[in-house]
Amino acid sequence: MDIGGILVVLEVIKAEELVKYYGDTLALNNVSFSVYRGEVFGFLGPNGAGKTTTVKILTTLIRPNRGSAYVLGFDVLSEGNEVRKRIGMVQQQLSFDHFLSVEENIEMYGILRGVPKRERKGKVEELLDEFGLVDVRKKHPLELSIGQRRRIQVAREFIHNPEVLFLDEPTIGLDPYARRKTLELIKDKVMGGLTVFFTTHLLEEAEYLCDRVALIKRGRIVLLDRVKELKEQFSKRGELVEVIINGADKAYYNNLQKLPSVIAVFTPQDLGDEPVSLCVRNAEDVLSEILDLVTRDGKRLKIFNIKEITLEDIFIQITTKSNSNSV
Amino acid sequence: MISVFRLVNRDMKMMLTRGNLGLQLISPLMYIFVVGFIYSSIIEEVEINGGKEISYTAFLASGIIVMQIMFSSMSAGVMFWADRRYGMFEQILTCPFERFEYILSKILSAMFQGIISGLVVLIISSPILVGEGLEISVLGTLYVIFGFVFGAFFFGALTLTISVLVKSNETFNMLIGVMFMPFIAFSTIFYPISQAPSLLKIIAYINPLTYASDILRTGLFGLGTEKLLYKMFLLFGESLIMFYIAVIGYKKHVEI
Repeated sequence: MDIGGILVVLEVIKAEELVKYYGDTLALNNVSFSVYRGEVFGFLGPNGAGKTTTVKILTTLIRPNRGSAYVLGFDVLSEGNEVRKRIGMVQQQLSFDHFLSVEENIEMYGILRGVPKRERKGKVEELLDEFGLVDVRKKHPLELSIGQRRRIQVAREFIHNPEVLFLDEPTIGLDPYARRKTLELIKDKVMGGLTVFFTTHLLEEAEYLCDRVALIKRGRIVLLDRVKELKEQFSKRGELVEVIINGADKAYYNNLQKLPSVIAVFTPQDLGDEPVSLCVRNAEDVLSEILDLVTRDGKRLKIFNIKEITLEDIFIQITTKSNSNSV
Repeated sequence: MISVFRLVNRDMKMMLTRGNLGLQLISPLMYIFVVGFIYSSIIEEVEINGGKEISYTAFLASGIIVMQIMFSSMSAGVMFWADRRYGMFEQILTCPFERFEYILSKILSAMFQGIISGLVVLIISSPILVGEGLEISVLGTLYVIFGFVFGAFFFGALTLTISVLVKSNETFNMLIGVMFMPFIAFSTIFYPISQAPSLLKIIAYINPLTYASDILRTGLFGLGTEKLLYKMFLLFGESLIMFYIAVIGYKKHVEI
């Protein structure tokens, strides 16, 4: 878009028909999407779906076999350095300079990023404070918890004020408290208008942080929309209920699909004490149908919950095989 | 190119600590001040560079300086493996650097480290060298610098090549340990080439360590400019070839 001679790039990331092979294995199969300025874009998928491969292409770490990608209007293949100047990247693997203290780590990253000395000192102080690292500033990363090390990794990415931040499963290996803390810190920083490309397989994280999400499965994008619209769209298909029937095995649950009000049954891989999710046309109707069935079979309905549909439910519906009547 | 020096700055902070430097000095000082003095009672004088005779202690000291440069330059591979182990390799490649700059920075860092620790050994062993006719001249200093720089450059590139070819840090350490012994044995670090059997001579003549130590001795003791340009040319050429191999090896074998 050209406004009065100023070029405004609304499309911050653009991927066009990306294809990537590792040997004979097809990791990305014609992946295309766009990410717009100021949005948090979630790239979701199970392990091995192609999330990290996509991030590596966009951050210029690897080249695709086919297709093209642009970050802030720069071609990742031919203008890699221009891309790298403007991005930040929190990779899955913990990374730090083990021989430097926390504050030295952040400062060294500023040196690598070419941040001038006069700005660097102040920025380091600011980040130590914002990310709760002041008390451990003189310690070495190996003396810290995984959560604290992850905070160093996230904090240093803000030292050069990136325009786009790539987060590749940044909360992996963290306990729930540290995970929430990390996400909160990221969310605070995102408020300033930063564009974020966020990969995760933890759906509650995506729901907490993202404006739009794409779901990738075996190297293909199978779904792409705003989180709110996705939930509405899936709610229209029916309601979601969770049930536990005492004494029921997988086969018994799968048979529930024969009930007239049931659209699909999603049984967890390891049943245990886990509830089974049912996508149903009407929750009240299905309750009476299940009660009739279990009474006839001499079993007992232990739990019947009507659930608000979450991103995780959508994810499970799309990524797992369901016993389905008409989804 | 300025970006290369940002990377070098980081490497220097990692490797060039007082502790590291101190530990690195133990072995060369033992060679010069213990082994050298003991052997000098068996080998009195050694002829170098076509005529001049110096004590074995001085001969060994000048060789050990080059050996020290070689060992310190090994840090190129060590730093590369540390970056991979602690996740900084990929992280750095998402910063505004070309991959070529990353490789060059590792070799330059190793080179600086080699030069610094070589200089420290040179200064410490200077009382021995002065007593044996150390000649300080502009040309001699240039020869010394040349030997230091390209000796360190060659071995920095060599260890980086090995580090990109092997799949684990353990294999790297083992290979380095095994590889450097022949370099030392088939060189003029411990004995003059004229004393060696003919087969050893042939191997020694393609060994960059031979040239680095010969050039250094010429620079220090001011004799034997015979074939010096040829030796300098070979050391320079071998360093460039090794750098090229490191770049190719990196491109071919380092997958992220």
